[in-house]
Formats: sequence, structure tokens, C-alpha cells
Amino acid sequence: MSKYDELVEELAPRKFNKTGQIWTVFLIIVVVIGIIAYIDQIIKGQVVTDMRDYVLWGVYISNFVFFVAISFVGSLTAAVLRLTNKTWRTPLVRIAEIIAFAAIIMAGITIILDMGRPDRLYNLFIHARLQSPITWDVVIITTYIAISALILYFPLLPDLAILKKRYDENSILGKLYRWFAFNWSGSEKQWLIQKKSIQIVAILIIPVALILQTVDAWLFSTTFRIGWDSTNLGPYFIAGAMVVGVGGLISVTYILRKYYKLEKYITELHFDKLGQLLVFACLIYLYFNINEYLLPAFTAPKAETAHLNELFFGHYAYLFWFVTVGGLILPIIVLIFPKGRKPLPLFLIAILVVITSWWKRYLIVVPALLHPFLPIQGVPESWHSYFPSLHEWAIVSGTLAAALLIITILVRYLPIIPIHRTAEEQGILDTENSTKS
Amino acid sequence: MKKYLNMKFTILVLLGFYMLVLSPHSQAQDKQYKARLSVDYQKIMGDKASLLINGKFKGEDGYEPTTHLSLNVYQEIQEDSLVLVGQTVTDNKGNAQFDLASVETAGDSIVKYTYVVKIEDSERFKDLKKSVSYQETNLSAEAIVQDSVNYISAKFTDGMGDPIEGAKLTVMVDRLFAPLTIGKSSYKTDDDGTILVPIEEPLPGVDGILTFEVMLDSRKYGIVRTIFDAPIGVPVVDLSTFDDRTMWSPPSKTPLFLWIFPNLLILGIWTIIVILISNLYKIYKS
Amino acid sequence: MKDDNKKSRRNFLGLGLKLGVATAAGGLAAAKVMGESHSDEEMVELMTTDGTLVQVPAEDVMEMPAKKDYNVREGYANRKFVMVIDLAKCRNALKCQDSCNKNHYITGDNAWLKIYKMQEDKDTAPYWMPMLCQHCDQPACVTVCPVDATFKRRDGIVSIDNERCIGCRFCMAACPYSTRVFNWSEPNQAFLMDGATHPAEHNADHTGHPSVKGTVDKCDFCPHMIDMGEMPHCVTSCPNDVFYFGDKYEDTVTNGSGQSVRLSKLLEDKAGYRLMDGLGTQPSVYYLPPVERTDAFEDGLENYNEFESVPKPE
Repeated sequence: MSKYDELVEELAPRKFNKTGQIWTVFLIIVVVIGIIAYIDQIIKGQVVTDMRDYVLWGVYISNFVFFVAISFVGSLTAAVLRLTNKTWRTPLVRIAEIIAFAAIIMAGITIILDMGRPDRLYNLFIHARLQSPITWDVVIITTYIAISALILYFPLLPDLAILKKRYDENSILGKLYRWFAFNWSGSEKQWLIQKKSIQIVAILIIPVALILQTVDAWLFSTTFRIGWDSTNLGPYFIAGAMVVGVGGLISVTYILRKYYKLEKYITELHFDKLGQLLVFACLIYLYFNINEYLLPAFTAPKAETAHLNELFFGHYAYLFWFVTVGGLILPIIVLIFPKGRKPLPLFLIAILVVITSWWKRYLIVVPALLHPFLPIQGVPESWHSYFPSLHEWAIVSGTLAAALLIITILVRYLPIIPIHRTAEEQGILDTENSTKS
Repeated sequence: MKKYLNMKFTILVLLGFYMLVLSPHSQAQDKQYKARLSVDYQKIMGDKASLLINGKFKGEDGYEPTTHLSLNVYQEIQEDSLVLVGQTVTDNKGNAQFDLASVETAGDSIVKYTYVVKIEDSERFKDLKKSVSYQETNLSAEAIVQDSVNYISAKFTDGMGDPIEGAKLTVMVDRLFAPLTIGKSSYKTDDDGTILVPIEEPLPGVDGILTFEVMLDSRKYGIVRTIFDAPIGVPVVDLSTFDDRTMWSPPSKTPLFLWIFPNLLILGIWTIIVILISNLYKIYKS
Repeated sequence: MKDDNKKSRRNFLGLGLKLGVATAAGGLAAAKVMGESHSDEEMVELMTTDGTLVQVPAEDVMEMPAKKDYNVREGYANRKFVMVIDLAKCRNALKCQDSCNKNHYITGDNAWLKIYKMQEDKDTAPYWMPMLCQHCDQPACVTVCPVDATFKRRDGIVSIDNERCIGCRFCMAACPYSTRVFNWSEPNQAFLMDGATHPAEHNADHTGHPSVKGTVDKCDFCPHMIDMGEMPHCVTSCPNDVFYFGDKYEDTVTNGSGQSVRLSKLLEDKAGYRLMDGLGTQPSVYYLPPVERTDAFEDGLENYNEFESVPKPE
């Protein structure tokens, strides 16, 4: 077998073994439980959550913000690294694009789960007010879904063409691969269009991604609330998205590498580079955190002080320090050292980063709502606090499982590492089926 | 046969007795409450005169209005001689208004008129009567300007046109929910039966038109009002932002900046997306 | 006295509406019936403002005619509704809250009108502060609504279209006065609004009539009362004349006892102010500071319940 064929054989998608199958079934079960909980919510109303008039947004919104943030990885790796010509990114871009695509789709779905009247979704389009930050959010998420799909799809075309040859023409998979390959023949004309398109979408995705993170932040900073009304929030969210995006990329990459035995293609160098990227992101995020949390303590207006005390020493203290130390300080300390950027320690840190990032968004959304300008009076005692109900956990887990399910399905049928691009870089292209590109 | 008829007769009598004594009508005979009636005579100049009646009684939870209470209205022609002139029923707030327009009143002599309102044959309330007496009067008012100051001038005369001195008149301007008193709570008429009330501060009014009301409320004459319009108000200016393009307007009045800039951005980005999709199509075709 | 003026007042509003004898269809219940028996007539069951069920002759229950020339989203021309709340007179009697709860059939746990126990600092005086929607002239809630479900009318009232609302609760997040409430579950108002009195058409001027699950509600300044020439329920039910209500363009506000005063004079004499004025929301509710209180603050503690604003029947 030629080197090329060997490459294709190694990188082509393979059937799941037992672990993969159990994993998939597990995800489907979690999603189904989530759907059942959601149907119950539709029937009974959102009273099944722990949200009430003061904590009017809860885990649904923080989960939504998490999805939006993690989708940043698509633009970061695929676009930024692509444009800066870092060749080490090649084996990682597809994974990044898949994660971003799954995340942004789930962001769109998750926000609908929070609506009191999802049956009136169409009102968002026929009665849209351009003055509302939610309208901006609807537009930018839809746009980002389209662009993420395109940046995933264009580089995929040559690979699909390679894969379609592996399947019988009459089988279902064969038909699907053929259809999605869009008659890719590797002609010079097609390469030209493809290269041009990738260049365009890679440039376009950067401002769109930045607008997406900023508009997401503006859902909070366009209100008067303490903890939300901050001029810092736009860049704060962008930096946070970088952190959780890279963290998510590392986590998924490590697992896939182990499962598919791709050590040859995703080497320790890649992890080292990703680790450096993560430290860089964390340092920037730490800078914004200091601005956000320490500075109000200087002038200490009453409302700000009450809010900060709750975070530093009060009800949310354990969570706050877990998130800040575990999700920010610790990664910086560990990853500054090359030993910390070896695959396994990096993976563990990345998982911690993702988990703490999820709780970080919870800390952004919920505590601020418990510090309104007027005292909380005239409502039941249970309304003075919030912790997600079983329904909320079920639905949130369902969305997270659904995101992982999308990633799983895409990973199952798409080559995780771009075949053609890798072959090209290794100089082992199959001269029969390709032309210079 | 006779015995049979006898039995039937007895049963009929018994039934009749039953219906009389034990009928729902008499069974529902609850305690009869003692109501309180207030009757006022009101005359609106140029309009009509009427009796304003209000009834209430002391129920379990304090004073409550007598609702749907049928009242008989009598006019006292001579001492102790009452003539039924009509009936009225109170509404659910215990109020009733009986117009006297149809009833003859002699206007040129100083005659004291008396009306009596009676609760009679009521299931719920004990019989009661309340009377009101009044003398015919006339009240006129207008807005005048003296030394570029606006005044309300009013004149109060009796049935023969002679001025009445010392009557307390209140000058008000009609406002949305309750009239606003102008100046002091009341002004006493001078020996000409007139008052002159300055309007100290300008009053706003729709299109500059104000509706004024001069009123007298006395035991002797009843309630006498005269209502008139005068264009001496400051026209109301609509200061709302309803017609403007603001951040809180409906979509049809979006601020121009928001309409132009985001739409351009969306158009630009989506044009590129459409171009990219068409590129896919081109690849498909080649 | 008030009734006589009704005619001129009605012409005043430019509506030409017929005033119904009973306004049960509009949500106001009839007072206790103690008149003659009407055993032959069709009876209708209504609920009085103090919660008792009574039978009223059907002929007395009049449906309010649908207003034809009235755009609910625009409201009245040449009017700007404002309210003045005199904190010196409030002793937490809670009659306003009770009346509002009953007349809007509130079944949730958060009232639209709440009396806050306020004290800025331990050294400053405590006071009772009735708090309701401020109907801001630069409403943060309207600005952030994505579907135009909440809107600002020409006459100053900020209203909600419960048929349009998608329940995103962004308006609730944006309101700095925390005055909006959400229907987390089915409001189940049927037991408060017996079917016979419930009009066939949803009255857009009467929020909470009915409330809709999954949408937002709040104080609406009672347009259904203004339509009839009357003031909001809180104003008329207060035993201490704490509330004034009126038209700013007329420069006149009227209290619950029917006394009108010039708004500008009232605000000047009693140093009126607005809540959180610095935020720039331009509220339509003015407060008169609690100086020379008519009752001691402690008198109100008896009624105070930190955890309840909508008392539930036992």
C-alpha cells in the first residue's frame, strides 16, 4: 500500500467499538430524559424550574452563554490560526469546527427552552424590534450557524470525495457521501473556488464571532443591574470564550486521539502549542477578572459591595473560589511549565477549565439577580435564593448531551483530521486522483 | 260525594293557608333594615333640576348602599298634602336621580317647594320618608378680562331676579377626575349678589378651552350649578415621544441609526454567505 | 356629587360612552344587593370587591361596549397620566394592594403593587413606600422587548400585550424597580372570575383579564377605570389619601377622596421627587417625602409580612 493509501486508511472514519456505542446510547438516553422534562415544562409552565420573579434567569441562560462562548473555538482555530499560517493547526481545525458547529446550534435551541411562550417564536421575526439586544442576538446566532457550517463544509469537500470511493455506490452511506461531495473531482476550477471561499469565510468569521460574543455580553450590560452594568463585559466575554473554547478543544482532542489512536498526527507538540494558547487566554481573562471584581471594591458603592461580598465571602464563596482558582489561577500556574503542557496533565486542566467555565457563567447570571435596587420583599422566602430544580438539571444535561451527540455523530462519519490537507503537507498525494492544489 | 267535596275544599284551604303563611315570600322575610336616605335638590342652570337621592343602611360590615330600592317621590302641594309625582330605583351604589323637568314649578314667586321621598312596601327596609325643600334661584357666570387678568364673575339671584347676598359660591374648573377649585374654597356674594374671582395662575386645557363651574350648596336653595366653557386656558401641548423615533418605539419608528447600520451589516454579511453558497453550487456543477 | 359630573366628565374624555349601571363585565363587581327580590328574573353570580359572592339581576349587568375609535397601543390624545404618592401619609394599611390584587384577579405570589418597608441607613427614618410600575417616559423595559409586546402609549401608560409576549423576561431583567411579575404557571383565575362575568372579548385595557401563562404582567394604571372616568383602584381604595392621580398636561391630580390639587404646586410645596431619577428612566410617579408623618411608622408593622404580598384564602 502506498503511503497515501495508508494515510487514508488511518484517517478515514471507522465504526464505533463497544465504548463508542455505549457512549452514544448514553447520550441518547440523557437527551430523551431532557426532552421529557421539557415537555413537562411546557405543560405545567416554568414553575417546574426554580426561577421566580427575582432570579428570572437561571441555568438555562447560563448554559446558553456557555454554548455561545465555546463556539468561539471555531473562529479561533479555523480562522485565526489559518490566517496566521500556523501549520500545526491542521489536525485540529476539523475538531474545532465540529465543536463550534455543535455548540452554536445548541445555543440556538437552548435559548428557546428558556422562553415562556416558545409557541410564539415566530414573533421574533415578524415583530422584531431592532432596538432590542435580543434581536441582535437572534440575527448574529443565525449568521454564525451559517458561517460555521460553511467553514466546516468547504474544507470537507476534498475529504468527502476521498471517502466516497470507500463505500459501495448503492449503500446509504455511499449515497450520502456522494451527494455531500458535490461532484468534487479535484479539478483546477473547483480548487480555485474552494480556496477562495475558505479564504473569504475565514476572514468573515472573525468579526462575526467577535460580534457574537459581544452581543451575548450586551444581553447583560444593557441593563442597570449591579454585576451586569459594566463597560468591561464585551471584551470580558470574548476573553472568556477564548478560554473555554481552547479548553474544550483540548478535551475533545485528547479523547479522540486516545480513542482513534491518532498519536502520529496529533503529537505532543500540538498539545504543547494548545497549552501555550490556553495559558495566554487565561492570562488575558485573569486581567479582565481583576478589572471586573477587584476594581468596584475600591470605591465600594453599597450595592456593588453587597454583591462582591456574596461572591467572595458569602453564599457563593465556595463556587466563586473554585471557579477562579481552579479555572484560572491553577491552569496558569501549571501550564506555564512545559511539563504541564504534556497531553495528560493538559487534558485534566482542560476538563477543569471547561467545568469551571460552565459554573463561571452561572456566577455571572444568578447572583446579580439577587441584588436588585429595591429590597426583595413581599415574596415567599424560597424566592430569596436559587438552585436549579430537577427539571432544569434534566433539560440542561439534555442540551449538553445533545451537543456531545452532534459532535459524536459528526466524528463518526467525518474524518477528524483533514485527509487531503495532511496528505498534501506530507507530500504524499495520490497523483492519480489529485492535481496540484 | 259531599264528603269528598268537603275534603277537597279543606285541602284547598289548607294549601292556601300554607301558601300564605309558609310561602317562600314570607319565609324569606328577613329582618327589615332601617335605611338612611339623603335627598338633595340640584339645579343645573340651562339644563335641568333633579332630586339626588342616596340610600344606605347599616349592615353586618358597616354602612352599605341600598341597591335596587324602589322609591316613591311625592310633591307637597299644601301642608300634609302629598301628590305622587313619580318613582325611581336606586342603582348598585344606592344612588338615584329623579328629574324634575317634567314637574311644574312656578318660577316667579319666592315659593318654597318641598318634595318627599318615601320607602314604602319594601321587603328589605322599613318604611321611611325624607323630604327636601328649596327655593327657586338663578345663577349665572362668565369669564371676563379686566386689566389683562382673567376673572370668573358670577351672579346669584332669587326666583324674582333679586340679588341674594352672603351666599357661598365655589368656583371650579372641570378636570379629568374631579374639578379643581379656583381661589378660596368659597366666596360670599356681595349685596349685588355677585362675586369676582381672579384666576391667579394660567390653567392648561385641551385646545385652550376650559369648562368652568360655579356652584352653591346650601340648605335653603339646594345645589345650584352653572357650567360654561371659556377659551382662556393655555393650550395643551402633546410632549409625548410617541411619534418620534426612539429606543422605546415600536419597530415602525426605529431610530434611523439602528435601522441603517445593522441592516447594512446584515445585508453585507449575508450577501457574502449567499456568494459562498453559490460557490458550492458552482463546485457541484463543474 | 361625583355622579353629577359624570356627564361632563364623559364628554370631556371625548368618548361618548354610555355609563353602565353595573360594570361587572369590566371586572368591577356589584355591591351587595339588598333591594327587592327579583325572583322571576335571571340572576347572575358576581363577586364583590370584598370577596363575597352575590346574585345580581342579569338585566343590571351591562357589557361595556367595545371602543371603536380607541387604539389600545396609542391611548388617549392630549393626556399624560401621572401619579403622586404621599409617603408622609402611608401607614401600610394595604387596602391599595388588596384592591389591586382583587380587581386584577392576581393568583400568583407577587403583587403588582407592593408596600416596601424602607430604611436607607440605620440612622435615617424608616418609612412605608408603595411601589408600582413607574410608567417611565424612557422605559428600559420597552427598549429591550424583542417583539414589541410591551409598549409606551401616547398618554404615558406602559402596557403589555399578553398575546404577543414570548416570555423571555428581558423586560423584567431591565426594570430597575423590579416591578414586573411573571406567570410561571397557569394563573387559574377562573374561580375569581366566574364565567358569567367574563366578557367574551379579552379587554386589552385591563391587564390580568385574563393573565396568560408564560407571559409578563405589571401595574397598568388601570386604563379600564380611566375609560369609565374613574381613577385606578389603589387611588380610590386608600383610606389615607396617599395616592393622587391625574393628567400632567392639566397640571391637576386628584386623590382618593376626590380632592383635586395643582400638580406643580403639590410637588413644589411638598418637595416631590422621583425614584432613582439619576438612572434616566423618567418615571411618571412622584413621591412626596415622609416628613411630618400623619401616623407613626410602627403602626404599619402590624400589617407587614415580609414574605407575602398576595394573601391566599385559607
